[in-house]
Amino acid sequence: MPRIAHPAFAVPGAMDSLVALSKASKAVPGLPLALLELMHLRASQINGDGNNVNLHPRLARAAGETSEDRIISVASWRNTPWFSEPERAALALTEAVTRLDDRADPVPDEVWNEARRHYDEPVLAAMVLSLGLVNLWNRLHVATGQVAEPVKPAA
Amino acid sequence: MQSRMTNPAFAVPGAMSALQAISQAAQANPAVSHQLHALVYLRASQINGCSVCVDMHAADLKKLGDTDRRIIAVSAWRETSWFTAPERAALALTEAVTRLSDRADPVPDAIWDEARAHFDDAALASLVLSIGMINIWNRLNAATRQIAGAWKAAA
Repeated sequence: MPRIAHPAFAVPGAMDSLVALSKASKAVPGLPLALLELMHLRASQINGDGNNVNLHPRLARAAGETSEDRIISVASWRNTPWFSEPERAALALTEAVTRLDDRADPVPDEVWNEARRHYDEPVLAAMVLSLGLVNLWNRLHVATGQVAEPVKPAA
Repeated sequence: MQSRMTNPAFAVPGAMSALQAISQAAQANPAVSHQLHALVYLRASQINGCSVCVDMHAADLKKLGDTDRRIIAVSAWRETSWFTAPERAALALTEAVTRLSDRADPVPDAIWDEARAHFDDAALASLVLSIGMINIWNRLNAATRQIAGAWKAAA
């Protein structure tokens, strides 16, 4: 049982504006949308969001991800052969931007410059915005005790 | 000092208006004062090391009539007598919901139940959304290394 109703539904106007932000972040040309779902999965693993860990593999498949190995191995991407250099840069950025709390230099130049080498500024801006948004969803879910539940196909 | 790139809130078309709409939705419940939202924003931003937000929300608190003594003590609120029981509950919730990464039981029942003792479901939903929102802003600013004081020039 959740502690309270999902804030995105409980707060008037919240869902519409959250959806608008999601659409804005995904509308940037050149943004790799299947990778974005894997980034969301990785952030949600770090933040312990049962709801989103269950959801984002499905969204990744819907966005064109075909490899179960890659989906299963997102948490351990460093020690797999299945992610390209740009993907590794995006996943490293995901981890850094998700682990801000109480850290010195949480997003170091090394991680940022590697991401910048593979993505132009508009795409990087969309990625950072999207990482902020998934971190918000993670907080809504974990704080209020939203648990994983079966997701309808092609959600 | 220079930022790494334009803030994604400005760089991604449609982002700023959606971000503002979420904040407005979160702050619309009169049961949570603007002052309490600002206290929440300041504490989360301290934990996430967001210089722009620390500067901005401390200034907001001052504008709202809060005292220097309280504003300076926000990071050490537990060992002061200057915060009310609802403020203390909201600050404890803010810290827990901001520190999600890699933690077992990051938002424990004791913290949730104390917040629940002071705020009804609707107010809690607003507070949690607000904590999520400042965590987005902290990520936009910290990842792209926005410098305190430069915000107005960028806006």
